[in-house]
Parts: sequence; structure tokens; C-alpha cells
Amino acid sequence: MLISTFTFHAGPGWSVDTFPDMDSEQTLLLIFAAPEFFDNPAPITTLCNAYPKSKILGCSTAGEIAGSQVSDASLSVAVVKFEQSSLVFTSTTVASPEDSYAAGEYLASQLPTDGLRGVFVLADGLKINGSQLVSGLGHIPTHVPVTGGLAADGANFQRTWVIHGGKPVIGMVTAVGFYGEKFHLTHGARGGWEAFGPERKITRSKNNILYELDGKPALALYKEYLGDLASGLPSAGLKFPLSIREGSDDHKYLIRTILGVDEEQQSLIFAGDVPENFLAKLMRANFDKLVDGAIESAKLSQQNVDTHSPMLAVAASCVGRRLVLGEHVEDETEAMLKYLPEGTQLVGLYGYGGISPYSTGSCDFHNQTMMLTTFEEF
Amino acid sequence: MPLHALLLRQLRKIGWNEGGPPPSPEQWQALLQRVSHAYTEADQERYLLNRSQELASRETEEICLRLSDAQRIAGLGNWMFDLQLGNGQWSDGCIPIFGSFCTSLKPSYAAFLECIHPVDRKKFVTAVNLALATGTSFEIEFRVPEKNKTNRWVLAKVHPVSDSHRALTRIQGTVMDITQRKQIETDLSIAATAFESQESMMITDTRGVILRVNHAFTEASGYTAEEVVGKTPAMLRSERHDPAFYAAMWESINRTGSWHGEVWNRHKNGEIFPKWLTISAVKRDDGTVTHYVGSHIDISERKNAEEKINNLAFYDPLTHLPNRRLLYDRLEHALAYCARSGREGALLFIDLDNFKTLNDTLGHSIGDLLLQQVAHRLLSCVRESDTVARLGGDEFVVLLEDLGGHATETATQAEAVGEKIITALSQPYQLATIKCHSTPSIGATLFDRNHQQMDRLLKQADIAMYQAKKAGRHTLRFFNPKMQESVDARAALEDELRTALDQQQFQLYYQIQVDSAHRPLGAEALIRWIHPERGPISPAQFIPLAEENGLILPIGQWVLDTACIQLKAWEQHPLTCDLTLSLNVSAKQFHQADFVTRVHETVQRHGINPARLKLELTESMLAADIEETIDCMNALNKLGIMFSLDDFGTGYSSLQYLKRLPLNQLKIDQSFVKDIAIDRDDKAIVNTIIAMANSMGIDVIAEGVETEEQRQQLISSNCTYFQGYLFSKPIPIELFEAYLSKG
Repeated sequence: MLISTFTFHAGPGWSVDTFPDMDSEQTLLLIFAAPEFFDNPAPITTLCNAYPKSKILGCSTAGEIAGSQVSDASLSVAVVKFEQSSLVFTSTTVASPEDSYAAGEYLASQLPTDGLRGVFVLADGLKINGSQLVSGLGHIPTHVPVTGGLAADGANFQRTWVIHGGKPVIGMVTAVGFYGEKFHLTHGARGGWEAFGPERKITRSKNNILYELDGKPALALYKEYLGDLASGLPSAGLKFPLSIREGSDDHKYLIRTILGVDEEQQSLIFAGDVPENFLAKLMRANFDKLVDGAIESAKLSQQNVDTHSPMLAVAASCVGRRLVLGEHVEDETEAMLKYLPEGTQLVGLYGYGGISPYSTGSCDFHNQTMMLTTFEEF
Repeated sequence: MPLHALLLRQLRKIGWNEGGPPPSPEQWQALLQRVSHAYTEADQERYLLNRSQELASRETEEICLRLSDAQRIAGLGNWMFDLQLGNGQWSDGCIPIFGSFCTSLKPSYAAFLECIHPVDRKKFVTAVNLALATGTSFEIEFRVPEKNKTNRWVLAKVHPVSDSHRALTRIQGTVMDITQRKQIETDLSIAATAFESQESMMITDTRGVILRVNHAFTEASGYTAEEVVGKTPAMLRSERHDPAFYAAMWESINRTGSWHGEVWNRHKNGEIFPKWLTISAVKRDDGTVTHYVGSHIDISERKNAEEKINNLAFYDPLTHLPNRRLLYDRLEHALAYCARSGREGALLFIDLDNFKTLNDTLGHSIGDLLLQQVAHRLLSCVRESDTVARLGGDEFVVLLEDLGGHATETATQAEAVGEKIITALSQPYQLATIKCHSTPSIGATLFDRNHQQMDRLLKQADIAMYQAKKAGRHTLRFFNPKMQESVDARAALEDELRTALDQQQFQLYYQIQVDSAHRPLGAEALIRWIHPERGPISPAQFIPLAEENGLILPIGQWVLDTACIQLKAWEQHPLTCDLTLSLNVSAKQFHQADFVTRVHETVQRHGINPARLKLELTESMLAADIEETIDCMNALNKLGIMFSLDDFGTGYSSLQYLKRLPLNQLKIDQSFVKDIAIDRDDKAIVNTIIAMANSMGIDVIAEGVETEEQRQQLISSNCTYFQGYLFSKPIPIELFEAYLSKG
């Protein structure tokens, strides 16, 4: 397995003189791009043209990870040429979040289960309800790990896209299935957020739209907590993700990120479902814990790996983390790299959500987490 | 001092490397922007941190307050104990539940146990240990002792909690005072027991839908609980009560909250039975009715007993016909109806001809059978609305109501019924094995608005019945006013007779008795009534009446007393001292139980010689009970009292008996004396009587001797004593004594 990672920045251009000569049917090209490349897709097109046989996955971000660095207005690229594994690419379009379940179901149906060892998914971040997409992907056998992320539009929540056919496309989901006994996909996901304040009941919601908590408008609660910073909604809302669980006996907490607000409805739109009668708590970042979370996810992903083989690590962090960490954002990428085997190459994105199995078993949709997926052949 | 990692990273980002040349102005500008941005972020972060902490604290505080209020309102206390560390906490809400005692204790599991009643403590500890072992919650009730008071009951909900090492070492939970609930439970248990009493009970909601019945109810009604619950009590109705009855019942319940009374209900098997029903409304504190409770006792037995008593009181046990009392009651109603409506009616008095003979000859049981059949036939002759009553013996009365609007119509109708009765009662009767005939005599009287006196009407019917008897029996007679007049006269006479006794209007007249030489031997004392207005009244007129109404007894005593006084007076006089005095004794007087004593006492009181007193008896008096008569006569005879048998020859005296009587004299009836001179038969009878008397050693006196010829004939027949107009008619004492003095 050969790995090559490089970047593109508007000024200096490509960080490599020539694109590595690794194009093949067994090559995976991963591109994490700043959202503005939608209007200026030339570098992407150029790159894709260089890898005509390869399977290409890519999407817009709220921060491109390349090694420990987190950049804006860049492309972070990884080329992986597998030697003993084969890849199957599939994609589908989604017109609205309602199509999400069907999209997941379709992708699952397009990936033969025989020999399937892992799936990596990149999806539009605004046209998709991550929870529904993950439910649809539930048709993939549970022993096959499914990871991935949702595209982002910085903190603007306007337009997200994935790369398809060598150019940015809105309203699409793409996936690659990995086959072969030597292929190993590992994953780890940790949040590092702390719930605080009283636990509230979701008294009115519909799918990923939250109207009321304890019978009061949810938007008003957020505005009260944000105070002077309320004008920064919806992105300011990312500072207070929601921790939800089914009931007081349920110890499985899911984190939900705000994607938008509806002033008229006094509602909040989240990246995943916020079912009625679930219990919800506001969450707050704790710098140290966020970084600890990243470290934990790195550690988790390192179970059952061969530390001597080349390894690609793909981080799918969340825009909320980026916003909270701010100038400190690289604390988490640096810390993560420390816990990955020497020589591991890291790319990734800050997106609108991540897909990863909760701890064991089938995949789940996550917000505000740092998710790490590693690819290896041994 | 090494530079801050962030600053180093920011420096790297602007392209400056540690140890390299100083940053260019552009790099400076970029660095300052990054630093400024980091400050802004830090400010915002601090702002949000402070704000969220403040808001969350406030919210949490509010929740705590709400929770604490809710627990206070609910009467809950909460607590948590660490069994390993031996510490814990309890909320203020625990204090009123455990009592002030617990304020002196440091909250711990041990202290908690100390608050629990010793008897319940072990049970609690066992449950806690189990909960800690299994990780399951539990609820438990226990008592908390309270000084000088009854124990308080507490409900605890206990939840095991694991510590940070996932070991179950803590328990937390709530306590609640349930003393009142326990009391209610006890009350309910008592009520439930009471509900299952012997009395039938039913509970309905306000719409009357049955919610619950007890076992006694199912037994009494025949329905199972499943069959009645959800239905209304209307299913039990017997249709014996009209809507007004139920309306009144509910009016009472709504007004007073309860009703009780007799109700006839229908058993599942269709039988109708009486019960004593009490309905009570169950009300809330605000007076709203929530339920109705009905309790019933089966009063069939009582009703049966009542009916029996009623039957005994109002019905003739032999024929089951109404008796006199009930007849009077019905008659009263009939008269009231007649007065109101103008519809006239009739009373028929029915007597069976020759019933006494039948009874005597065939026996009472056959007589009773006849009466029962007569009753049956009478009922078949009248409408259901009419009344057939039995007054006693063979006397029946039929009350016919609503016969017509005027006398003619009423009489026609009554006569038709009367004739129908005569026909029906005259058919042959089969009495056991005996076939016999009987006929009735019926007296009828009519009543209208003007004739309303019950006693009078019955009397009238009775009189009419006697008229029917007189008319030859087996017939119907209507009452007519002339009959009434004689009855009235008789009644008046009776009143006057009483007055006569009180005012001593009676006198004794004396008729001399002589021997063949005209020598006076004695006299017969005869009572006379000298009415102050009407003058002397014949004994034939008033003696039968006195016999009937019993006045004959005081009159007889008066005669005895007066006679004794007279004898006493005569004893003082040589001319009269040897005279005897004969008195007529009535049957009633003679058959008095204490007659002997009375006579003896009277004789003694007046101190007369009993041998001068002669009591005259008639043959009919002796026949009644011959043995008793003989005893009585012997007793008096022993006292020295003499006896004469009056009207001899007119009766059917048995010579066998005559022989046994202590008689001193036979008195030949004047009917034989009257024609002795011309009728040979009379003469023969007189001869026989005298011969018989002589043979028995008894004197003979002839009464009604009016002519010398008669006297001669009697002398020729060896009669030695005489009495009659030939010698003197009965005269007052003064005249009698004057007569004697004249010689």
C-alpha cells in the first residue's frame, strides 16, 4: 500500500511539483476542499484528471486537515494505492433531507457484501439528515465498519458539496467499499464535551427540527444562553451542542450540532434527529477535554493495527470543535498525531457531522466528535 | 521563558521560524490579527462560560426549589446513604415523617434504621440487602413509632445506586407519610367486611347504574353480580308500584338524602317478594352525590306473619271470608263511596234454614263443610268488588256496592242477586259422603246517601231476614219500616225496664192459694210493673225482654228479696205466720252458677223460715241439664226450700226424671182446669196427674180456677189445693192482707 498526501493553497499552489504516479483501479483519491472551490473548481478538476482510474471521494469542509495543520481555502489530498485490496465506488443524489434514508439504503445495495471489509462515505452536509442516512446504511452487514463525514460550508451553512465526476456537486452522497482480506479499517470517535445545566425533555420536534424543550421554544433558550453572541446564530449555536438520550435509564448519549435556525418557527435545525420525548442537555466545550477526546479517538483507532505498515488516518472532526477551539484548533490534530504510529499520514476535514460505529456494532451518526478512521493493508 | 505553544504555532503560520530573522511588517500584521483573534475568542469563551454557568446555576436552583416544593406538597422526603462510608443525607421533608427525633441524628443508614419501628426494621434491612445484591429497586411500608401517639405509617421507595467503581454501595429514595391512607385502607377493609353482611347491598352511580352488589344480594335476588352490574335496579321491579311511588321515593332521596320503605321486587325466577329497602345517597364534602347505596332485608317472613295476623283479625278462619270487623270496614268504605258518588248499594243478611238441626244431627265437621261450600257458592254469585262476610254460625252478609242511582234500580239489582243466591244455595250439597239440602233465608236492606248508619243497616237486614224466616223460610224479604217501629219500641221498653229497676217501679201482687175448705195456705207472688206514665205493664210484655237482655237476674233477685221481706213480716202475725209464698224462677236465674248460694244468702239475710218459701219451676227449665238441676234442687231442698213444678202437663217431662226431683208440689196448668168441666180428656189428664202426684207423695195445686164448677170437678178428682180468680185475683199486699183479715 502506497500513500501520498499533499495540499493546495491559493497562493503557493500545490505542495508537490507533480502528482504522484499512483493512478489505478485500486487507488483511492481523497480530496478535502475549502467550500469556495465550488466556484473555482479548476485545481480539483486538474487533480481528478490526473487520476482517471482511481476512485475519488471528496467534499467541502469547514477546515482542511493536513498533518497537524488545519487550513482554510485549501485542498488537503491523500492518494492511496492499495496492493491487495479492491475498491467499489457508488453514489446517489438527494434532493432533500427526506431522501436521506433511501440514499443510505441505495448505497448499501450497491456494495456487494461478499468480501466487503469497510465503507467510507462522504455526503452533502446540508441536504442530508445524517441520522436517516446512517439508518439507511444500516443495511450493510453489521460486522462491516462504516465511517465517513458530512461536507461543510465553513460556518456559513449555505452550500455544501461532494466531488463527483471531477467537480463539486450539491445534493449527492458518495461511498467507497473496500474489499480484500488484507484490508483493515479501524476507527475511533470521542467528543470531549461536557453536558451542563438541567436535563430537559424534547417536547416538540420533527426529525432534525427542534421546536420545544420542556414546552418552551428551543431557540429562545439558545438565545438566552448566548446572550450578546446570539446574533452569531446559527454558527454561535455550535458552542452549545445538544446531548440527547432516549430516557433516564439510557446511557447512550448522542451529540447534535446546530445547522440552522428558523426565527419564524422559533426552531433549531440539527444535523441529526432530535426525537420527541428524548432528554436533552446543553453541552459546553472544555478545551482540555476536547483534546483528550481527540487523543482517545486516536487511541481507539489503534486497536488491532500493524504499527509497522503504512497507515493513512482520516480525521472527520466537527465544525463545532473548530469554532470552539479557534486558534487552538491544531491542539487536537497535534495531540492525535502524537498517538498515531510514526509515519502515519493524516488528512481530514472539519465537517457537519461524522459517521462511525458508536463503540461497537453498526454505525452511528455523530456530531461534535473527533472521528478517526485508519486504512491499512497487512 | 519558552513561548506559548499557540504563539509559536501562530508565528509558524505567518511563516516565522524560531531563531530566524524578525518577522516582516506583513508577517507582523498577520500575527497581530491572529493574536487579536485569539483574544476575542478567549473573551467570548469567558463570557459564555460565565453566562452559562450563571444561567445553569439559576435553572438548577429553580429546579431544586421546584423539586423541593413538589416533595413538600407531596409530603415526600428524600434521602441517600452510603452504606460503605456510613454517611448520607436526608431532606428536610424527612423530619415531619420521622419526627423531631431524627433531627438529633446525623444522617446515615444506621440512623435511618433507628427511626423505623423495631418490628419492621429487620424486614427493611433484608429488602435493602436484596436490592444491593440484585440492583433492583423496591417499595416498602413500615411503621415509625411516635411518642405518646399511635405509630405513623411510612412508604419508602428505595433505589440502589452504584458508586464510581460500579459497586452497589449506596441507596437513595423517598419516604412518604401514608398513615392516612392506611387508615382509609383499614376503613375500607371494615367497609368491605360490612358490605358482605347478611343484608343485601347494592351500590349504584348517580345514574342508577349498578356498580357492585354483595353476596347476600345475589342470594336474595337470584342474579349473579355479573348479571346485574352495569344494569339498573329497574330489572328487579315487580310492577307492583306505580310511577308515583318511585317519584315519591326519589323526591325523598333528593330532599333528605335517604328513603326507606317496603318494596316488592322480582326474583330472577319471577317470584315477587317483599323487602325493606333503605336507599342512602353518598355525598362528597361539597354535597355532590357520588353514589347511592341500597340495602335490603327480605321481609317475606314478616309479611307472611303480618298476613296471617291480618287474616286472623279480619278473616273467618273456616271460610276465609271477611269477618265482622272487615265487613264493617268495607261497609264504611262503601257508605263513604255511596255518599260521594250517589251510587247506592244493598246489604243482604243470609241465614241457613235448619242449619242447627244439620249441625246437631250430622256433626260439626259436616256443618263446617256446608259452611265452606256455602261461602264458595256465595262468592260465585257476586262480583269481585262485592263483599261476602261470615258473621258467625250460619250467618252470612253480602255487601253489594254500586248497584244503581235510585232505589228502584238498586232494589231490582239486589233482588236479582238475592234470587241468584237462593238458587245457588238451594242446590244439593255433597258433604264428604253425605248428600244433603239446605236453603237460605235472606233479609235485604238498601243504602243510599240518606241511610248511612252501619249498625242500623245491619239490624235492618237482620230484621228482614227474620221476616223471611217468618214468611216460611227459603225466601228473600226486604226490610220495611214497620218492622223497624216494633224493634224501636222494644228497644225503648228495654231502656225503660232498666229505669224501672233503678226507680223501683216493680211491685209484687199476691194471689191466694187455698185448700178445699177455702182456708188460705199461702200465695203466689207475681211481679207487676207500674209504669209512672203508662200504668201497669203486663209481665208477658217485659219478662221475655228481660230474659233476653239479662235484666231478669236483678229482677229475680228483687223478687226474692221482696218475698223474703214479706214472709218475715208475715211471721209476726198469727194470721199470716203459717202462709207459704211461691215465687216464679226464670230459667236464666235458676241456671246461675251461684244460684244456691244466692238463695241461701238471701234467706239467711232476711232470717226467714226457708220452708215458707216455695220456688216454682217450669218443665222446660228442668230439661236443659237434668243432673245439674237435680243437684241444685237437692241443695236448696236441704236448706228447707220447697219446690213446685209450674204449668205441669204442658211439657214433656220424663217421669223417670220427675221421680228424682225433690218436688213438693205439682201445679196443674190452667189450660187443663179451664175446660175440666166440659172436656173429658182434660178431666182424665187432671185425674192422672193427681193420681201420679199422690203416688209420689207430692201435693197438687190447680191454678186458673175461676168457677165453682171447676172447683167441684177438681175436688172430685181429689185435688186439694186451688188458686184462681174464684178466690182472688193477684192483688197488692195491702188488699191481700185486708182480704185475709176479712176471712
